[in-house]
Amino acid sequence: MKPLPKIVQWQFQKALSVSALPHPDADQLTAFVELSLPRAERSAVLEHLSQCSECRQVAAFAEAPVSLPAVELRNIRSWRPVLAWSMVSACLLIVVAFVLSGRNQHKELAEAIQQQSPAAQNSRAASLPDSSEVGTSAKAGTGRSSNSKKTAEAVQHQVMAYDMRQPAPKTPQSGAMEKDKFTQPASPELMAETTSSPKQAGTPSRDDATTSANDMRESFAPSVPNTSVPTSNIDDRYPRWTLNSDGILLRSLDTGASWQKISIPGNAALLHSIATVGADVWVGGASGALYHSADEGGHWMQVNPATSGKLLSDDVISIEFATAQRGKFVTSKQEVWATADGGRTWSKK
Amino acid sequence: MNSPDALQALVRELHSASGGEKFGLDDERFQTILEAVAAKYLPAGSSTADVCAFYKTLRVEELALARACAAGDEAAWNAFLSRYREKLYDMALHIAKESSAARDLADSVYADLYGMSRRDGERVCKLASYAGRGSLEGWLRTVMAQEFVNRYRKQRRLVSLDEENEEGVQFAAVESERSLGIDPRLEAAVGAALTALAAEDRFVLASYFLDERTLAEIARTLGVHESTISRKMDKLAKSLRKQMVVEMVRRGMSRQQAKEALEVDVRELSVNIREHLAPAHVQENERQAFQEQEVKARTSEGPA
Repeated sequence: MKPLPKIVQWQFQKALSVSALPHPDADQLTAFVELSLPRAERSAVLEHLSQCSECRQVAAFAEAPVSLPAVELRNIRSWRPVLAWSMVSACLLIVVAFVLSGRNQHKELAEAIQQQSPAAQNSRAASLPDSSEVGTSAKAGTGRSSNSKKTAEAVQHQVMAYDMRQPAPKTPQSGAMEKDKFTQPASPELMAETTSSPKQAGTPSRDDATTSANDMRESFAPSVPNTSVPTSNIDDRYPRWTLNSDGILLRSLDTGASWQKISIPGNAALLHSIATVGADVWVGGASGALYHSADEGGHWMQVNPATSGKLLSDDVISIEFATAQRGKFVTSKQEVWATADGGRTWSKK
Repeated sequence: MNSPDALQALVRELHSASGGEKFGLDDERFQTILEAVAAKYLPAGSSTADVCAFYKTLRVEELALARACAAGDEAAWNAFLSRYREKLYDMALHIAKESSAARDLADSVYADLYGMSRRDGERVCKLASYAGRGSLEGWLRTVMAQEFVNRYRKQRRLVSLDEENEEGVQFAAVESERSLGIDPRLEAAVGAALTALAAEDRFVLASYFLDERTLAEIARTLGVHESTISRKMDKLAKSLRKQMVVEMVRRGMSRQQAKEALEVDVRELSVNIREHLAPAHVQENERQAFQEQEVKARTSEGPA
């Protein structure tokens, strides 16, 4: 932008330093700054401001400070290279793991085939589709890995075809064989855990190494108002808790086999959310209802979070407690209230 | 629909929405407040429809709170303090930028709000002047800004001349004798070009060139995007220059002279003006001394 000639600026300062118009009052200036003045009045105020440097200063000061996200941006920028390199490293690890697992599978299969009798090999070869079809599927199966291809070339053609059909189900075209293989439960216990009644579906053992993909998805799902799924109390020493669809609190002392209704003294509100940490239980509900029990539901205490002199009055739709002291809840107005001292004091974010 | 009955119904509705009842502000008193506000800002003889539309724009909840505080209602004061006590100091710090000055400013404004001063024996509470045109928080910030600017002006009147010089007040001296150094045709051309601008354009130019505000700040004040202000500034600078050249040519300058006149540096003008401002006997002495030096030089050189 080309600057104005200095002589113009100087003349400008002289011409616009004194206004004959009356100064707008604080109300008008506030409404001007907040862009809520009617058009005609706004024009009049603007006319005055264009001639009165003092009112321009007042208007400039009267604007609410902007909380610029500069610090956050710097943080994001400073983390960006770390994240980028982490992603590259993760990709490399995935590729290496994929290649190594592919090699091991091929090696094991090749050894197994070598141990089989020639008769069995012939019969299996006869049952396979013709070579051109096999070649196509083998090509599809090995498209992603040149190492897999090299390994496959080391064995006989027909045997190779069978060999390559094993990892093939990883592609979308492949199907039933791999599906059957991977959906087979590792143990009857896991089977019971993953396919049992809805009551147990939400309480998988998180420290179990064989946690299914569904469980993983559940554990990373965003927190939503919990109405029917029991809390993830991983320690069987403590009772399990849940809320039913009527907003009633339920407790199980036998790891979910049976459930009993728990009434909180003095509470008439519909309950929406629950969180447990060991023996500590937090329950939230309509119209700011928030209760805490530190003895597995033996005694309940109503918590009245307040910040800046304002009591909580909105529905508590989600509660999360990382420890007995540190936790937060979300209200129906999407306000996040947090505590770091077990609910004695709260701060609104 | 816009009958007096409708206006009455609207007032009742607004009173209910304001929550003034809990601060002892009854229906009748609330109506009196609204009528006073309307009388202040609406032209006389406004229609009922205009009054209704105006009432709907008011922040009635905050208006009721402020007026109840001004009336000395304790519950209203408690509500006011719980909402704004901490914010008052934050606002002051944002404006004054320095802790002790901010504390001083906040205390001063708080005293005005509480009504510590008296006029004709009656307690004067600043909150009684709040009309609900903008938010109460914004109004408090504006009141604080006004107080800060007033203090700054008073302070500036008391600074020493040395400090004034350091602040660069040479413009003031130049201004008083401007006509000695500036071509009147240029002055007239600049005046004409500036007068022809719209108020918003003058506001943008003044904010940018005189107040040294950033484009982003100006854009925020006007509620537009920064790029809009950037384009406007560019366009304004070009059109102003062009307009002034045209005006000067119209007043008898050649195009080249007009362009050169625009490039005159104000600092050069100030030097010329100082020469003009020098007392006459000083100038005379300087002229005589120069002539004596010239005579001596000719004498020492001798005849050719």
